[in-house]
Amino acid sequence: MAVEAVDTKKKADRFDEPIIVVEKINKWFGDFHVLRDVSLSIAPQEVVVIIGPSGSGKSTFIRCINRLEEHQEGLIQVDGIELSHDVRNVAEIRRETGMVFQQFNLFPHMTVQDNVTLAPMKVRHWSKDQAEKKAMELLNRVGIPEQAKKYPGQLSGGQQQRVAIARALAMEPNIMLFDEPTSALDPEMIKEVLDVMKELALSGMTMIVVTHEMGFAREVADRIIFMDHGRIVEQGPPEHFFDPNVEHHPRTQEFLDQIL
Amino acid sequence: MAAQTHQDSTLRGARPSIFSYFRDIRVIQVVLQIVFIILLVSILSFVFINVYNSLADRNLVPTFRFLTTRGGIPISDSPAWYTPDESYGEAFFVGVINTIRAVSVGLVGATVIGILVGILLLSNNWLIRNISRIYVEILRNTPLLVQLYFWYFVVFLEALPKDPTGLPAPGVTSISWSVPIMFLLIVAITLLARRTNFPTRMTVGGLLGLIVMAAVRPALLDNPTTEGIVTIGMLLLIGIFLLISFFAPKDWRGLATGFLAMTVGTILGAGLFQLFEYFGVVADGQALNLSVYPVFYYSVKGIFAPEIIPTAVFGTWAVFVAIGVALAIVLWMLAGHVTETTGKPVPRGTYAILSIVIFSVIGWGIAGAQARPTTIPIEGDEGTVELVPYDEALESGDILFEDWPLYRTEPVIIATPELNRFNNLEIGFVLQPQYSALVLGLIVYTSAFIAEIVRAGIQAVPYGQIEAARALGLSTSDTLLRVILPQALRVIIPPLGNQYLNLSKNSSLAAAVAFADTYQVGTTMMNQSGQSITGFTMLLIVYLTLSLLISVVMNIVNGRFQIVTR
Repeated sequence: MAVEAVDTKKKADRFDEPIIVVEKINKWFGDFHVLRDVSLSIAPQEVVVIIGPSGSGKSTFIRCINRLEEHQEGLIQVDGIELSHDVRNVAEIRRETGMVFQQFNLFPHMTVQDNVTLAPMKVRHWSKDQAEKKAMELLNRVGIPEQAKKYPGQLSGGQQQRVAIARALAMEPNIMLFDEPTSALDPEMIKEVLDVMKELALSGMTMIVVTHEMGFAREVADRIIFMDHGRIVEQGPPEHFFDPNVEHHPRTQEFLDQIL
Repeated sequence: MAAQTHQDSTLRGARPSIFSYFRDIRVIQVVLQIVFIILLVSILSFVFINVYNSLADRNLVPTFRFLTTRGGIPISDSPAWYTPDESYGEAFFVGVINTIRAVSVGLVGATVIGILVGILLLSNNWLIRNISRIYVEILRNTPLLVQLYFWYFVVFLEALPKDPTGLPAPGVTSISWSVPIMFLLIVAITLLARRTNFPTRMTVGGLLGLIVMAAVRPALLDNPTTEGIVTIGMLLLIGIFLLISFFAPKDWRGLATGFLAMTVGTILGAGLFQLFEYFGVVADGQALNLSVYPVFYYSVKGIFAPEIIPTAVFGTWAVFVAIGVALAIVLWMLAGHVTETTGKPVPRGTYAILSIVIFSVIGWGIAGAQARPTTIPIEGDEGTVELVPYDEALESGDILFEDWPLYRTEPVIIATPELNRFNNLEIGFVLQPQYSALVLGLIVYTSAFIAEIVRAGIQAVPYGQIEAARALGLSTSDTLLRVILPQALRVIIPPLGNQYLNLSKNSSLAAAVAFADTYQVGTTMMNQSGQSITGFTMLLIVYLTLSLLISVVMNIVNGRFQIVTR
């Protein structure tokens, strides 16, 4: 029994044309049913935070959106493109969505600048000058322009994750997916990454964030989704989630009790 | 308090005396090294003096002077100038050349097959994965010597026919006109098929197809009946490849399509020329002669291949080819610059190939148009020499084979293999069974180890790297070339260098299959002259140089793939 909260947020007027539509997707890893009839619709510029215990399918869910995992049933539509087996559709969706990983996954054999310019030059066919200009602009935005010529191995975890965000933004995506971006970081580095993400959210980027950072969720999210056992159990604005007077789904309550 | 303790400890230390020098760690190290060197030198000089004296008793003082005396070593696999009358030095030199011949081909072959099998070991296809696994396990778990014996005695001396079969009529066959037309057809079909998503695999598949057909057809086409069978067989092959290209998993579709393009192109071309011949557009025999490809024949005497002979006008053509290549390099770099500054992808490979092809064709024409002798002095029956016009001599067959290069208009002629009445090769190029067995044995054995190294190297790249590349929208080939390979090579290159060293040293097992390499010639030389110390020194120097050369190259390559960390 999902508790659906009425959304009365400021961005209501944009919600008529969703940028991501997910309808009843199912996924199995062998016999293990990871995603069960997950449906979701996300509006442009909306910031959605997905929380839930580990193994609840939240990472698998956002990895389905850019086809790092293949769903077996249901429909996913991103920016008007249906995610089908057609390689061109997959490529197009990947061009429109940036992704940031828990383990950064920077290319260790390339400088920071080359990490950021590789995809725009190879995929968008930008000139080197154009790509480098964009890279410096983005490195400025994430606050580490002086590290451009260094290699990822020479940076701290927080700096690496900020480079990873810049690398994803270099493709000028309409949607950003964050898969536990701060889970592999030392506590004092979490803030610098979250600050970049907040700035990004305020600039109007559509974001789906899988995270355990409740402070971030409360401050930035338009909507919080709680997942468990491959299902969306409950969703609503942060005020709804963090209001102690609201009666939650028992599973949500249990999770919130442990985490808050 | 702390200072007090410090002072106490210095006071309690050993007092300086005469012997304190020998407790000094720096002195001990130097003394030990001196002692070690003295020991080593005395042992070595003891051995050397003993050997020297015992050799001197038999009048065999080590010297290099014997190298210039007649060796009397017969070497079957040798350059044309070599006879057993040459000196020991020259025999040894031929041995070194043979070692280099085997090792260089072996290194390239083992690398290519090793990489291929290494990638197949990671295939998603159960059958392919397990076949390559079995290949690797069998080959790396049996001794190389056994494998060499197998290749030599079982494959090259037993499994092949006793005599070369299906040799064409004697003489020099120039390539018939059907070949370039066929080639164009193949290119056209390939270009059409390029619209599929797998251009690279397709080209590879096409080349494989061409090689297989070139190798299989001539061997079977020695009589009309087999010709029919071969045609039906090839039609069947086309059917199979069509099926594969539509239903196979996409990894194999490109390969099959390329294979198909080559086959269809060849058959269309051949058919077209049969029609031309029928309607008299081309002269009889000008159409598809059955040896359209550079032909290969095999028997226990070896693998016979056509010999490529440069003619008198080769130089002119070579200049044009060189210009074409130079222009191709300039175009390649220019296109790279354009891509970098504007971001537009330029098909620079196509431009480069076009430049080479166009200049080669123009050069071919200009070289052929060059003035050449119009008459040929030919010895008559009574010993008189008369001048015969070139065309006449060509038709009557009076012109000697050795003289062909002087009068032909083509820059190069391709001489198909020809045997004398003892069934030995007279014209053409031969790969002797000893050489083939050694090289094949080394390639196959080493490729199993290289395959494992490549597999491990690719698996050493974290999966997250591939996911990151995918999430950025990079294509499969960019992911492989820009992300996976640079990181995999870092892991692959050091052990790969070891395998290269192994292969070069294992080549000394050539003696087992009677191939005259450095070691085999060297030991024969030592047995005959008794100059063992000199001989071993020479062997040592040759193998050491070879190994160090490989090490240096691999170290330079390795240095370029290191990853910078803090």
